[in-house]
Amino acid sequence: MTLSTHEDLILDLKNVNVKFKVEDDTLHILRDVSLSLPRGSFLCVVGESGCGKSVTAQAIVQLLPDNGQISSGDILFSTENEVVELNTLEKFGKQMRDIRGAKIGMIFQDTLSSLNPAHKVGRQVAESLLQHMDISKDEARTRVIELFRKLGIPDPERRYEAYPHEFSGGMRQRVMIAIATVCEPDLVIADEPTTALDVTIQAQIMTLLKDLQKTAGKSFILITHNMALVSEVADHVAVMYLGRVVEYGAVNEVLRDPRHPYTQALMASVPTLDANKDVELQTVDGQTPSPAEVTIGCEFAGRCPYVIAACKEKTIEMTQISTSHEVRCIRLDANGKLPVLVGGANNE
Amino acid sequence: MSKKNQDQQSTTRIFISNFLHNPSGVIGLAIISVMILTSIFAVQISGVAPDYIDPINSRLGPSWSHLFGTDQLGRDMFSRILSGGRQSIYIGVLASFMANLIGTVLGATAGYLGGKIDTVVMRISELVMTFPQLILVLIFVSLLGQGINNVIIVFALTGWMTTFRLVRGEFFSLREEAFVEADRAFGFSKPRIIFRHLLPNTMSPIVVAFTVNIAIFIIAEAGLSFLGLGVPVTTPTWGNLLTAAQNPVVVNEYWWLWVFPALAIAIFVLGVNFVGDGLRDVLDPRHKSLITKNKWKTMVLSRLRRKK
Repeated sequence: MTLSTHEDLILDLKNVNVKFKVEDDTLHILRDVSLSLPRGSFLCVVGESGCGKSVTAQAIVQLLPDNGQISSGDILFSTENEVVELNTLEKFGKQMRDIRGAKIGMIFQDTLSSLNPAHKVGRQVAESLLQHMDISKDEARTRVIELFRKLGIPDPERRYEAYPHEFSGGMRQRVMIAIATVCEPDLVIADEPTTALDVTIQAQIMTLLKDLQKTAGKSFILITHNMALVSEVADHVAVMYLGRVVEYGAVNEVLRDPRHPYTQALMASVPTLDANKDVELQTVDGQTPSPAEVTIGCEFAGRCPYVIAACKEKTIEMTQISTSHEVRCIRLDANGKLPVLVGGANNE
Repeated sequence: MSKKNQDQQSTTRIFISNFLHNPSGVIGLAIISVMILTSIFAVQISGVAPDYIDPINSRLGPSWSHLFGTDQLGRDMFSRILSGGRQSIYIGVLASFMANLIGTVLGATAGYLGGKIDTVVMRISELVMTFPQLILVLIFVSLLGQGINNVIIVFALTGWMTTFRLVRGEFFSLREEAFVEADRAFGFSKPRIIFRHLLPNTMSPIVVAFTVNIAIFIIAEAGLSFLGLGVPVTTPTWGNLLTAAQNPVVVNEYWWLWVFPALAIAIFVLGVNFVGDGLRDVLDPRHKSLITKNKWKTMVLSRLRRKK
């Protein structure tokens, strides 16, 4: 869709729909997801649990669970000299496997279970290298140790020979980052990489990722539900709700001046240290509806204080409110502002 | 590089030291080693060839010149039992290895891939298992003919199911692990994920199954040979030596002809099971809590208690 004024896009998702077959039902998990990622930028995908953040990542690397399938849409990934349509490649074919790991790196949330307990960590990192590049084992070892040192793993020669359980959570996440980046991929997808870590380690890991983006020019997609993290690292942010991108734009515009009622509610519910203790923390009313429910119109309508009849009539299209900000809401006026609510919620 | 070797050694050294601190493992290993060595040097130890016929001295009871007595043809039983171990142990180890190989490869593939392949292999294993094993073995032996290598093939073909089910079960839980998902995301191929990444995680049950199968196959060989269907009678194996006990006269009058081969089988199988126990304790962290400080005492006590 828009925002693609930037010519050099590394990843371009066009109206991607993903459906899951669960017993007899077909669940529509991703609805017309369009995202474009300029080369060298840092995109954060936020949203509450079950909104399709992780499925988006899985769809990009073609690792959806067996019952999931991209039903329509295009995923364009540009390498140095060509544009590959990822969704047309065979899931476990040679071409797709060459892209996974080598061109697109993945960082996972649970570091202990994401590393193979039976292999030494060094070998696991080197294996990724040996799989995708034509180098000798000794060379791979040297490069891995060098990368360990760069990623702040102390005593890398000795650590190379250690097993995952001998590492702390933060160190394991560094190892995961090493595996994801050892082949110098252009794009790194990090699926909640810091959720299992404590805050100080979180900060270290995020600084590390940000450094990689700045110095190595890599593009990042960070999936998270931590809004504070988003404001620190992201260039662009996409807010997802029930499989749809509801707001998308440059981070300072979306976070400072959220336009979609859902983004506003999400931002209002972020706790801050200097908040008045007597004021209750705001929450988003209601619950995320199940994707099994067929909704017509805006997915957020059931929980939205600004809802009007027209919201539930047809699919809402994205509205461009600036060159780098778009919102999926029909209640915005010509200036891109939501109407002022009279007497609190006019729900129903 | 030297550093790497050092560290590799240290992992192995820890494993060896753990195993050496495991009483049942050490006893088992000692029993097995002694029996393997004596069977290799059978002739040197007994001083008589196992098939040296001496009709004048037939059916002599145990004495200093013939430790375990002599058989109907005057052959020295001590020498025959020692060299019989060669074939029996060879059959047990090789058959167990092959059965485990078949079971592991099929179990790993079926467990990881699931779906149709899994269903097909599972049905085959059920088919083989529901068929009475003895009859199955008889069919195979009559098809292939007698002989040591045929016995091994028959055992491997009829005995892979336990390992198969074990490995398949392990893979069912392992394939859901996050690191498998990570492996896929790094672009590794399916065979690589199955055999390089997941298999090392199932090594401990496989090793234990290997030792258990050795014991089972040695006993099975004895049973088969006792029926005259295993290894040709001309080759001494523990099972073939036991065949003598088919004759009630032998059972009553010449006890040394069957007691000693039976003892040899029992002791060796016991040793193998001890090693299996020990390996399980060392390889499987979940069992480690069972070993307390006073290992030897605990072991003796628990074994006594178990017998009651």
